[in-house]
Amino acid sequence: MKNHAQFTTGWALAYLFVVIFALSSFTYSIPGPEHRINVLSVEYTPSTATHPSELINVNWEPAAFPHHWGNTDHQNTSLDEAWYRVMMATPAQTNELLGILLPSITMNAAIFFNGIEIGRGGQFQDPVARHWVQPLLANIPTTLIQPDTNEILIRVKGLHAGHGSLSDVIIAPQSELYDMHETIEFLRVGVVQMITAVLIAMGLLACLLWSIRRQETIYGYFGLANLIWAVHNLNVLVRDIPIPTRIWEWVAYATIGYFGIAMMHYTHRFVGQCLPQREKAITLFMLLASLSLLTLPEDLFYFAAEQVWYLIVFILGAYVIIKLIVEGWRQKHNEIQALALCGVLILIYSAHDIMVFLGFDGWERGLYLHYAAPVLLGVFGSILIRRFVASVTETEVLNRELEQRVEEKSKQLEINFRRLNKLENEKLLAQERERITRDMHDGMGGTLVSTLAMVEAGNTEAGRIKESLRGALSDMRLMIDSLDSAGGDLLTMLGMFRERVAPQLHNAGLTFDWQVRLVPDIPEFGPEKALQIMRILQEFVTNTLKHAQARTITLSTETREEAGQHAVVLTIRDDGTGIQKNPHKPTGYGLNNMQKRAKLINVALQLDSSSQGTRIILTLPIETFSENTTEATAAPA
Amino acid sequence: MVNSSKVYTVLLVEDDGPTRERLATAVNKHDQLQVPWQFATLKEGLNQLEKTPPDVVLTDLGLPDGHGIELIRRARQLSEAIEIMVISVFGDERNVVSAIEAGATGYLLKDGPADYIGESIIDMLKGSSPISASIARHILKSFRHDAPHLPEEKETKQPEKPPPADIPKLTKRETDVLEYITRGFTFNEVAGILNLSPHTVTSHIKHIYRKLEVKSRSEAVFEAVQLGLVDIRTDK
Repeated sequence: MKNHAQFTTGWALAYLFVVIFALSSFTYSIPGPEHRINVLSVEYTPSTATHPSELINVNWEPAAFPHHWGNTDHQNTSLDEAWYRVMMATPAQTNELLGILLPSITMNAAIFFNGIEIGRGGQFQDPVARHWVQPLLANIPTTLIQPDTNEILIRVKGLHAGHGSLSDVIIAPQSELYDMHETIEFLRVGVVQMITAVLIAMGLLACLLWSIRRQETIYGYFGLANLIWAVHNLNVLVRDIPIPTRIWEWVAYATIGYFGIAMMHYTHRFVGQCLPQREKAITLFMLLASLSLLTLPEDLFYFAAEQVWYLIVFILGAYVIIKLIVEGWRQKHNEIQALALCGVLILIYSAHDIMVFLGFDGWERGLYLHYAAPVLLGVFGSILIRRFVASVTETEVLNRELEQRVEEKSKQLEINFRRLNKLENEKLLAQERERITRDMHDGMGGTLVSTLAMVEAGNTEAGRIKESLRGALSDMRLMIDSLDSAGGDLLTMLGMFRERVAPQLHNAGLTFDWQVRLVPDIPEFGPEKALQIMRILQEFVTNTLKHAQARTITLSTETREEAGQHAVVLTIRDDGTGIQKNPHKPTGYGLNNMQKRAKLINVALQLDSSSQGTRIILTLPIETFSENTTEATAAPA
Repeated sequence: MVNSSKVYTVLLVEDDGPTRERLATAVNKHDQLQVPWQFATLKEGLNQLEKTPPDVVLTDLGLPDGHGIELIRRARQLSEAIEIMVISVFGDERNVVSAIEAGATGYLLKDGPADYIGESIIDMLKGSSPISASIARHILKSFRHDAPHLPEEKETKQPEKPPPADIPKLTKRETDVLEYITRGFTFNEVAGILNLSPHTVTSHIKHIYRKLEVKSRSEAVFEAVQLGLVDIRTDK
């Protein structure tokens, strides 16, 4: 709350300062020359005379500078031309070159000294040379100065009927007047020229921004406002206009209104309001109003422009500025506040200029509105720079944050990955442990338990116990072999199987017919598959040894292709009596067990048995596409 | 090679008492073998080795005061003629291969039938080394991934300095023999398939073991040179 209070107090002070500054600027006047020569009298008469010689029988009226036709109750204010007669006493010392300075004329003047023209501001026919706020300086040829009094006649052409003025006629040493002339020229023309140049540059820049970022129409409107203002300024900068005065005047009037339209659009966007209906209505109204000015006859044109149009524009301007002030206050937005301050300055200066136009106030100070432009431009420029810097900073911060976030995320991902990996590993380990435990219970464990039972029952026949223990040991070897790295390789696994059972077969007088041919690697062949296959083979060998009365066991591997499906086929057979021929030990347990094991590892098991022997075929599929791929890649080479 | 009248001396190092007894008994049973020295520790084994080199060393790998590999290496250093056999259990092929790399020429399975023990030692003295499918596979692998333990990163390669040429490679024949053994074929079957005498096949195995030993030693030196541990320049 304290901040808020400071905020409003600060801005309130700023507003106060701007108002005081604006008002105090009106009190400024360019210091006059040190050695000004007093005039004896000033008279005025409306007249269309073009030369002093035509001023016959005119009715001179006393006048005082600054003199404005609109300010007098003269009956002939319908004229747009007038003459002034200024009487000057001859100064005591005449060795110094003297001059006459007209600080402000509306619109053009010619100076005659003792009947001889000594200065002229341009042509008097339409389009009349336009001086507005420009000073006019003429030197008084020493030869023309008469001993007693001198008559200075000044022909003035006004803007239009009832609107003409002459701020002053200053007679002083030429050197002093020259300095004064230069100062006025600089302040009223030079400065405005610079401002106009900046307005054009800024306007083009803003338009360029808008052309790049079309969605940000705010820049477009601001650019437009600047350019319109620049055009409007031409009114005070161009003395000799290339088009008829009416049209030129209209452009000057219209542009000030159009500036208001552009600023209204700009302001709405700046304070973040979307009022398309209102904008359209106001724009349309303003355009129609400005265009209707063109259709008016001359006497009505100036009246309508100065009394009605300016009022309309002023109301629009007031609307925009009040909007800025209200929103600046409401939104606590420094930028809006700053713009509102500019608006206040613009409003005060336009009010001043309107007063001047309407003849309420001194013409001698000239027009002020142009001077508000640098303030507006400064504020807008700093807003632009602030926004640019802010967005660059934001981008940098965002980038940095993004980088940081990416880094954090990747770290987190890595940690997560490791955790997952660990979990996965733990899961795999747990699964493997479970499998091994199960297998141990399944095989060796069972045999050891039954052996123990045998011993406990007093059945200690050495041969049977030995056989039982050998069985357990053999199963343990099976498990250990399956866990060997060779357990991933079917053929080595078969080799190890042979080494294990060879002594048994040898002792029983059986021959092993070993037909193991090279076969491709079987995908995902691991310890579990290895163990189950070896157990199946072991079971087969055990059954053969026990029951088949066979002489040979044949084990073969081959690759087979069926319907595009490649498979490794593992066949073990004996030449024994076959299962059916053995009613005492039926198919039961052993074979079921084999089927169960095969199913566990997804291997097709086919059992054939006849009096010629028994055969088990295990079919292990190989993915066909890998084969095709190798063929395809091999073919072109 | 094997003098049928000669009795060969066996140095037995095994820390497990009953196993040692069983092995000693089994070996002594054979006419041509006797076990004058049996120890439970590496230190005693090494001492004995320095005193009187035996004809055969029979050692376990896991000893209380060190690794049997050390005994094997020392025995091989002392004499090329000593037959070295490592006592193993099944499923321990990796260690057997390590022992062969250190200089062992055979292995014995602890739980093998008693009468097989003496025979295997005599077979080995005759020039025939035992092998299993799993060991054959390990050896094949070891020779295949031959690019001998070069530092992983290719950037530091020295193309003009390949691994020493004296790192042996398997011949085509030897590779074939090993491949058939890997698939479970017996020496006799392999001999039949490859048109060799069974004796040639067994001597191939012994050769292969020695090659593995040389290879492993050369590679150790090569790696040491690579690491800058050994300076082999002679022109210093």
